[in-house]
Amino acid sequence: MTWEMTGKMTQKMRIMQNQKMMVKDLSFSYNSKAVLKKISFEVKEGEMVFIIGPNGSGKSTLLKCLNGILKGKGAVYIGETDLRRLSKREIAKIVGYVPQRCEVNHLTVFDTILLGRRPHMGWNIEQKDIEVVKKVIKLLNLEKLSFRRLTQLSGGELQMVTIARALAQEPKILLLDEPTNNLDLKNQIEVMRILDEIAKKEGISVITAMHDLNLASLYADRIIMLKDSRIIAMGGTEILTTENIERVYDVRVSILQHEGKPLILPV
Amino acid sequence: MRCLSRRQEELREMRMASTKITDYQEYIRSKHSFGILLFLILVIVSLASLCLGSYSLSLGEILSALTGNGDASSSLVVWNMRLPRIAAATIAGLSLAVAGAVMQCVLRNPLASPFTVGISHGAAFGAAFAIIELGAGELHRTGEGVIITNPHLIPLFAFFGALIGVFVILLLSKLRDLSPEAMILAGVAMASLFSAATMLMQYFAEDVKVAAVVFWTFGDIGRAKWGEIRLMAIAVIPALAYFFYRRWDYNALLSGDETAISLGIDPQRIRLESMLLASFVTAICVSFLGIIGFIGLISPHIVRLVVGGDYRFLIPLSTLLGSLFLLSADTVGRVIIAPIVIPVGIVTAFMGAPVFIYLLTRGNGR
Repeated sequence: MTWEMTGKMTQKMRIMQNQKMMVKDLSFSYNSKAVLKKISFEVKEGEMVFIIGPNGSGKSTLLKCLNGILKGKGAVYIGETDLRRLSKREIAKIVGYVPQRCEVNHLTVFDTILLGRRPHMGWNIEQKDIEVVKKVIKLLNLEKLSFRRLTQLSGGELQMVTIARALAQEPKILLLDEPTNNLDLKNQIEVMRILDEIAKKEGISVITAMHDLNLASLYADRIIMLKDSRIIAMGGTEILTTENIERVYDVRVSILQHEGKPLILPV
Repeated sequence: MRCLSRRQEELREMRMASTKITDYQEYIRSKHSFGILLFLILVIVSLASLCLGSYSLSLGEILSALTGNGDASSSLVVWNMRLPRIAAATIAGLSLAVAGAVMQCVLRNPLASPFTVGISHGAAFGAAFAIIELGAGELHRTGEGVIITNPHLIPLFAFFGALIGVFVILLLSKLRDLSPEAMILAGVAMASLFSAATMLMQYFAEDVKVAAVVFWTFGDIGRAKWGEIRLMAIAVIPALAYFFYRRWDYNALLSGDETAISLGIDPQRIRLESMLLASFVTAICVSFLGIIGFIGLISPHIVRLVVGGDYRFLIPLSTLLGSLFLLSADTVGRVIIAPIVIPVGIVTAFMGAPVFIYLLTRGNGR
């Protein structure tokens, strides 16, 4: 075995063992307009991280830089490997992504979720792929919809299917762009509960861009507040203070404590 | 009495609804059975096509000719006239259909096909250029049709012509986010540009060559002999393998580029490779058989109506349906006013144009 090969193998093993994500001085500009300026943070195994901030603060862009849909300046490390050194397929095995909007097509729910197995697939699907899809379908209670086409689903159902597809990738890191936008209250809580569960149980890091501050407060291990392309504050739920929220959103709020979590009310 | 039968009907419907497909394998099997059905029909139409024609043969005569026991004349008809036609129609039909199915996905345009985006016309222009300017073919007065003096030059130039078409289409779809209808209009514009260029060449060409080009432009299956059929098969098999390998990626592309990337797929690369291969198989067909329209457009749509938009099934089933369509059209063209044979390009245009108009008026339907 050559030296290079051992090097490659240890690199792969490092990704498998240590799935910490580290973002260092990440900047991104679109048509010479800066969208992200020198963003740095770390996400640990099994952590629930919420990115909050007003519209246009760069939340979606940040998520897209984390799995290589967009290529920014600066570095994103998964474990100890630079994201740029991984192929799209290798990234897809580690990072799952749930876009803000899912484009509707005529595939069935089952086949859409099966697409999440694409990075693991060779020439054909295997029994394991089917098993994973069935497990995810059960986890998200989608059994009844399995053989419906996406065109026949409601917005909320579609959102659940998109989340299921990302989970079928068996990712170590899951990125979600406003996953609760189309969901009713019950489904919002259901989705967050499931994400929290898999984060804790399977050690998946969940990074979510979100508008709902209270939902974020309920489930967050860590919150990143973005404004004008920069991080304003970062930390546990204790950073949800009236001052910080006023700085980020330009609105006055009052904060109540409910079962040890801050509850944000606009005034 | 009527009341009772209606009650029975209701009961049956209820039972049908309760036996929902729960198993994935069963769901897959239902798609496969449509494929088997198409294949059986294709076999039957092939047999019918062997029998029918100005020199009609019985099934027994055909079987003995195929096994090498037939008399000289029926063997000649079967081996030198009808079988090559059937083989050529099958290969060309599947090539054009699969090219259409793939283009509809990667261009995100339900109206895309080699014919509608102008690639066929580009190929035709390239072929005409090879015939007129480079002397690769002539029309013989004996009525044998076009004599191809250089069998490699025409496909090569047809491919170059098709490439020009592909390049313009890819550029348009990348630079300007054209609506499906606008892209088809761009295709029409390009087709007329290519036709104008072809006519310009014809204006200055010798009349044998002009006749060769004109005759050649009618899509005609009868032109292909075994040598050309072999070349077509060699060209299309790797392309088919590629398309089939990419079937999951095409499904991912249906959900948008961002989703595709997040699933580990490079949309730009697939788009480019797919368009190049699709235009390559189109160019091969066009250069040997002339322009055959609409097969590539309609076949994927009909398959979609039956089995849905899943490219795992859409690719193999479109190929079967494309073959079936082209073979049927060619057989109809051969027998309808026998002994005169109508070129298949004319038949498919008559068949396909109404369907195309239906698709356009139905709006953006897939």
